[in-house]
Amino acid sequence: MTATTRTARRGGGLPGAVAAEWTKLWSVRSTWWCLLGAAAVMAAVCAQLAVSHVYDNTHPDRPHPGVESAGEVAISAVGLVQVVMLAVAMTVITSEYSTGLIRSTLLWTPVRRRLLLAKAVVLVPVMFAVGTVLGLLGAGAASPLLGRWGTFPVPDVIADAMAVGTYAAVAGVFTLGVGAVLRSAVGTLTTVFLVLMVLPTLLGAVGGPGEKAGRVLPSVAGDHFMRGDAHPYGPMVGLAVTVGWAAIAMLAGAWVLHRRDA
Amino acid sequence: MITLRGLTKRYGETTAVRDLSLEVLPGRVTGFLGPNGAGKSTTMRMILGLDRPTAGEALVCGRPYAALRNPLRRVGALLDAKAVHAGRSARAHLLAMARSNGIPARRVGEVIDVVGLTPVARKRAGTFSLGMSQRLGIAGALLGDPEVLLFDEPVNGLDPDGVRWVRELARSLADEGRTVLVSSHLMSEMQLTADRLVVIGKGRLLADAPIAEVIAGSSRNRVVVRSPDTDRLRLLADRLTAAGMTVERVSAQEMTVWEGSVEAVGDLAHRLAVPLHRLEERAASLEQAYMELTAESVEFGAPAAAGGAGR
Repeated sequence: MTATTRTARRGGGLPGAVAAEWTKLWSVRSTWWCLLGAAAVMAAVCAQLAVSHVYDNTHPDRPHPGVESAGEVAISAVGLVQVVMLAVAMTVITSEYSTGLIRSTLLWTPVRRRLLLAKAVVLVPVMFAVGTVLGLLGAGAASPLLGRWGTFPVPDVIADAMAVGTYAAVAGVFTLGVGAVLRSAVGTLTTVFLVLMVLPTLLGAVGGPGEKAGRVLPSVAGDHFMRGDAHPYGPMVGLAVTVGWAAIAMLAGAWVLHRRDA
Repeated sequence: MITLRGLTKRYGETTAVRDLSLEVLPGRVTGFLGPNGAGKSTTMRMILGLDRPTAGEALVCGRPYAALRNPLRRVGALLDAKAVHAGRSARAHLLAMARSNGIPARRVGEVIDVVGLTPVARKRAGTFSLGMSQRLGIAGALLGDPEVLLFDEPVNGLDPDGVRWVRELARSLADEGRTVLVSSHLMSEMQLTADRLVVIGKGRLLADAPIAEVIAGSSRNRVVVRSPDTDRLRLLADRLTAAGMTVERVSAQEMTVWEGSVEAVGDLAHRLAVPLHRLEERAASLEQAYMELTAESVEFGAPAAAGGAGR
């Protein structure tokens, strides 16, 4: 026992919490199912977008978008696929509550902000890798279907895929924060779906001031960043806005986690 | 060591734990008793930093749980055997746990062995019976070789062999000089396991004493006296009553004496030359002593007449 007490100062802390979260993430099958599902949906949506891109170019009564990079198609697909992609980020926190594991986890890492931070530290590289791989996968799925209406400039496609990865990482942290506030999977999924997908469409449909307000939404800002749009704000501003949303969600999550009994 | 100072938890109007102050000392098994809803689990959760006290403090090893660096290496707890991810194997669960507190991974195999889960270590925890989950929880409590251990209802779902194993484990952990706090509903089990008892009811401290003292304090302790000489027995009864004891004549030749000791009754019988065929002390069981202590504070009890809580 005295030996334990003496060595108890080594290890643990934030690195320990990160190691534990990493182990937890990869030791349940649901993580793999989520990723596999996201990959399948990404490939399907990119194929669909490629097919309609070709259709638009080959039918006179349709707009004529011209030649497009496969990477652009992958970025367009993110708008639809993101919720599936973010499922992994969501389960990292909501499964704690649905299984009751949180009552164990908080004994391992009782400093609650450290626990949330550890989850984010694990999620950022994982989601970046997932987004990047899915971006490449989507571009690869779109490319053969685009035919002569598409290009595959390798450095650009890689850059696009990494942009998707960056957005996935930031949106993943946002989802984690929302999950920490709401605790339930259904509530988190609904909220993330509303904020990232429904609200931009709604505000866009309103037009005028609504559309302006829509520009500060995380998914709209993220889309600007991924596309490298200069208007109405630069891509880095877009990234900053998305990061801001993630930071607010994390602060709210940390506050709720700290305040409420587990 | 566990120290509670004025520990209080309120949920709106209800007070779950009220101004609880006590020390749980190392080297012994302390039983933690109380009726359902008495605040046992809430107290344990506050000790472990899961719930925030409304007032007062709970310290383990002299500090709040959350202030311990690598708490699993100081404090081990079995709170809720089902607090695991059903899809994760027992081994992966304990491995994540070990990594969180810088505990060497080889400890995982060791504790799995100690609780007897080696054959199912790679099976998903969701497939475990309550007894197996309980063993997994105990493995987690032992993982960091901690000096303080808390077990909330550890024998739930265990078979008689498992119950005995937990009892011996708690004993041996205390004998190694660790602080062991065990909550249970099973009085007979507590009587066998604990050295000291902490009894709470409706969130208040009812008793904090060695187990023998708790039993000795019971009004159910009595002396049975039997004599063939009914006249002299009646005389003895009168004198005992005069001395402030309560006497109940069971039959012409036998009576039960309450609030008296076998020494007092025996001495008086000798002085009155009562021939005794039987002089026997009947101690209350822990269950009887406990029932008396908590009779006033049963939250979800049956009506007194039906429950017979005073007996």
